[in-house]
Amino acid sequence: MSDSIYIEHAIQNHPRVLDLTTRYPNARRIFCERYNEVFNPAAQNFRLQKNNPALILAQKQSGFVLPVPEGYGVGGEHNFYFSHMLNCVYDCRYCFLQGMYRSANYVLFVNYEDFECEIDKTIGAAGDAECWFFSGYDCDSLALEGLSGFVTHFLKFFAERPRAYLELRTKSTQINSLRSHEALSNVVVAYSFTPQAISSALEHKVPSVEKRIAVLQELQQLGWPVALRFDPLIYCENYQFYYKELFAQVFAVLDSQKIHSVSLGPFRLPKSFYNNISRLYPDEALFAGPLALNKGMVSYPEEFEQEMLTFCEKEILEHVPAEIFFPCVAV
Amino acid sequence: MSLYFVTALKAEAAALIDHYRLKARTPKGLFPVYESNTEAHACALVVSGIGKPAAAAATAYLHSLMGEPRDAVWVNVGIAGHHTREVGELVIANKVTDAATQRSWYPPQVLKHTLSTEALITVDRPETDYPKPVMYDMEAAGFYSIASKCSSMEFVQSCKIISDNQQSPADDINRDYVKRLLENNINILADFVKRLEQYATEWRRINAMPEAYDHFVQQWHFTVTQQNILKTQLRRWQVLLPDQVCDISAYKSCRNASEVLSSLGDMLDKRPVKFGM
Ligand code: SF4
Repeated sequence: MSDSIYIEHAIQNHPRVLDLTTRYPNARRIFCERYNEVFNPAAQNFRLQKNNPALILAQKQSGFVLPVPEGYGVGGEHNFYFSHMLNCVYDCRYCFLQGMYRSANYVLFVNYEDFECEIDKTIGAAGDAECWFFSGYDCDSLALEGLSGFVTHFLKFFAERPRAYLELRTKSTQINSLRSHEALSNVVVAYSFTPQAISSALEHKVPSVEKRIAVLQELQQLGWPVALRFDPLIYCENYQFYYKELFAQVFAVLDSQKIHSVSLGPFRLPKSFYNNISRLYPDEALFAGPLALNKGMVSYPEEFEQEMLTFCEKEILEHVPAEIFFPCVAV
Repeated sequence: MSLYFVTALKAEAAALIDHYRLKARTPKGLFPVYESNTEAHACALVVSGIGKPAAAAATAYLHSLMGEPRDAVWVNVGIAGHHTREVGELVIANKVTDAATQRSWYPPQVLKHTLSTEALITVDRPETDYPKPVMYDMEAAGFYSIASKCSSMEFVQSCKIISDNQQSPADDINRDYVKRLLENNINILADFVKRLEQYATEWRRINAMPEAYDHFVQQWHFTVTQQNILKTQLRRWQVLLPDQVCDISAYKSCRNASEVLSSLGDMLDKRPVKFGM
């Protein structure tokens, strides 16, 4: 747990703030007017802050529900994302958050009810069409559940709105909130994977592939729709061997008939994010690899990317039907 | 490594001058500066005089005098008042607010430490009523207005020793008293600073220019853009070929910088990226 909690003045008496400050009485409390006074200043070092990130309790004021970037989605007609948190306890070297934010502090927006209100408006505006809401875009949906209670809160909300779908995107094995709730057919728990050798090198503090698979299996047995996100695809020597092994590991354990969806995402970063991250981690093997700039995005050269996508697609389709496979979900 | 202190008073500086074995810089300039300079460690201190504008000016002066160093540790050390905190306690500022403008800075607390931290308000006139449960001083906001532009905020800190409170008013403060307060805390303060320096040293090591860089730029003319590409390629070299020295003689047939860069790039693109194998 963070040893410093920044609190926006206006929400110091919000029930979630009072609960958190009571639970962490030894954390130093620092008051601010708006979270961005702490989070946004330019001269901050994400890498250094990752050693001891603080928690910032804030109130989101606007932009509660946003349309997803093009290509993001798993077949739904209307796709949106919402972020109750910025930043993540894990430390994946490819994560775009490091390039997007200057601070590694965790921002938790405590006004969940305002998110709910906007989600309801969005559902209403869509009429009879299915709406998908993706969480875990600017954070991991489950990793800080003990602190945020986010999943527990939103399961109740989505349980009453069966026409709306929620995707929880995670690498966390903390699934108590899901264990203690009846499975919901409109809440999909999506786990991201890279092969263990890559994960060990690049996904710092993330539970092992084996542990994540075990948790996925348990969730599937409990009746939760589960999904697989092989995203981002990371190029390395012998990647074919590692990905083949990963697919075999996952599909040996999961019931393929009951998997909600499987998607692949290439490694891509906007140029400015890439520049920021590679400045923070000039010693990182990921950025020493063959990378190319294409239409403002840094990615593997097209021939590498295509080769990997084709290989992984072929392998995945050995295990699951094409209807649940989404080959190129944008990062 | 570079370490810079800003204090308001000579009495606040005395223990630091002693501890870091600093010598007065001559000839005297706008502000008194004390320094010690070895190849591995540059340390300097400026005495600003009282007040926010003086602290800002002295910080800027020291920065330019020292050659505008990057990623240096900057520490404002001094005394502060507080309505209840015990006199003599060392407290790290976790928020610095300029009372006149209401602008605030939030020094990131990346070090895990057990020292007390507290918000600090910089006032234009001595504050003897301590209306809020925070520290009061007259310089920190001036220091931050400049130091926050000189280095990453993690390396810019303000350390205050409580000199007065409701029981022990500011009227009793004199030179010897201030000197003693600093002397009593110098070891704790130096320990905190040392840990900050370790972070800064590590950061510098990560960002150090690859050794071969100078050899290349002496041999060929690189434009600024090409210099950046060269740095990137040489860093890739360090990661992909950690046991192999980048020998400039391998590129002697290159006629210009772009040939060097494409040759380096082509070679590195062919090197496999390995993860934990
Ligand atoms: S788990 Fe996701 S959000 Fe967290 S660091 Fe990794 S990529 Fe980023």
